[in-house]
Amino acid sequence: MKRTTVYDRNLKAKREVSVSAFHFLFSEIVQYCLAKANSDAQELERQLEELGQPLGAKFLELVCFRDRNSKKDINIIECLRFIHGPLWKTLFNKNADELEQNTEEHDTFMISEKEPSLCNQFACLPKGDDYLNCGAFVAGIIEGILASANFPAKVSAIFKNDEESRKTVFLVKFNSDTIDGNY
Amino acid sequence: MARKSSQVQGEQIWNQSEKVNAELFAFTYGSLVVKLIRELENISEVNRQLETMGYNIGLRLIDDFLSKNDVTCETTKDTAEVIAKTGFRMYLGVTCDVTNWNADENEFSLILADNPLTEFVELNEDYRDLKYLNLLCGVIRGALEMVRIKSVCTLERDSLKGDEFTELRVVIKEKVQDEYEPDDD
Amino acid sequence: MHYHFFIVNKIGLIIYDRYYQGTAKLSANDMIRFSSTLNSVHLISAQITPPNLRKTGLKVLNTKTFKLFCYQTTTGVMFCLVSDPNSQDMESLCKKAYQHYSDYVLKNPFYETDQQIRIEGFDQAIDRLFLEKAV
Repeated sequence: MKRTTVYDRNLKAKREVSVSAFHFLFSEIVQYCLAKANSDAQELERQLEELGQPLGAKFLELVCFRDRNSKKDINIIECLRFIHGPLWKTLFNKNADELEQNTEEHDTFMISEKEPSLCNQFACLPKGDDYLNCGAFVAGIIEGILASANFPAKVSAIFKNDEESRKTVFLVKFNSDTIDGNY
Repeated sequence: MARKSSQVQGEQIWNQSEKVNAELFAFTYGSLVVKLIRELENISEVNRQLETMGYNIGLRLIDDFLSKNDVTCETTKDTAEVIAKTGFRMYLGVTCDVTNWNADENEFSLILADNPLTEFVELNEDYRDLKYLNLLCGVIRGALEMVRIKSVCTLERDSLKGDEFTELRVVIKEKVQDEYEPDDD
Repeated sequence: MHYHFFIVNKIGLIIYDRYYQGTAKLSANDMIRFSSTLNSVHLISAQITPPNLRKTGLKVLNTKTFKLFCYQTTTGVMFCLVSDPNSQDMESLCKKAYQHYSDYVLKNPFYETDQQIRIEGFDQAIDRLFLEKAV
């Protein structure tokens, strides 16, 4: 009998695991990074971003392969729409909430998501401690996608509190030479 | 009154539970393994760290499992069935077969034919000593310890290394009797 | 109507408490005294359990004016609820609290095992469970 390998897998098939499995794994990863970072919040976020980055390229390939309407890397706006729409749908089973361009700094875009999000639902500090956002992991994934689509950018996850709700804003700041001529 | 079989219970809890994309889970784990390979001195350190992280998860996961399932395990056979049919199903969406019992019935193997953690994973020659799934061994050890069962769990066969299936060997070392019966009836 | 909900960890310390209906909060000293008394009662109940019966420890304490219910998990954590004497379903409420605990507390990487629980999402989930909807 022929052994099945990774290459024989049906790429179109959609698989799921329980969200609890993800939460426990993610929680343990955060604890590991926190110890490595000597409890420094910025360093923890950096490590989570770094862990997210390699996922970007993988999901870009997979989502484009599955969804013929998502063409790769046309221009920056298309790419951001791809992240905000099909990618978010694949990762989190919903669209992100808003996609906006900063009116003053044109090289900066914002993708926002209402809390609780997957990474922050349980992995959060008490109220008032907004300096740490575990969505940094997702910021890393976005960064990875943009990098493999050849639009390098710096992405960071920050909390934004309105009167009633709380959201995470993914701040996408493109490198200056990326923005010229691509948009 | 007959209790629900572990299989049925696993099926039910799986159908009720909230899900997430298995690739997100698998790639996240893969990214962790790569990080550990980069940061730790050698592969056996990586294997050890993966087991430790699994153990930490198991210490917490057991309460999640017990709070959402109604189980009583009188014998080691019950325990094995619950891990294989309810536990694996509830979290990973797959079940294992329980085989290779020793005569004393305190050692058994869990056979995993299909496993979402190894989705898209391939190990090249440089990593032939890597126990990619050691985290699972740790989870089992940690979870059992919280219900006062001391155990050792090892990755016996590995489909990532050309074995036909993955085999986790569980050896029960000691069961500490609790003075009280819990309220799980 | 529920007055007081608390969690005792496996080494007998109260790691979480929440008060309702104007119930006065226990001081830190009273809390230690209370949890150790509770532990003793739990132990004694095992000792006086008639032979050949399951030792379940303290489960319910009834008085004319209130009822204390304890739900002990297999892992040794106790979920306790003080309610009015007519309260029903205290066990299922405690089980529900156990589920919230395993979500909000145990999946939180910043929570250190066996320490005091200070998690906003958990407070909200517990309040939803024990606060009367209509007065």
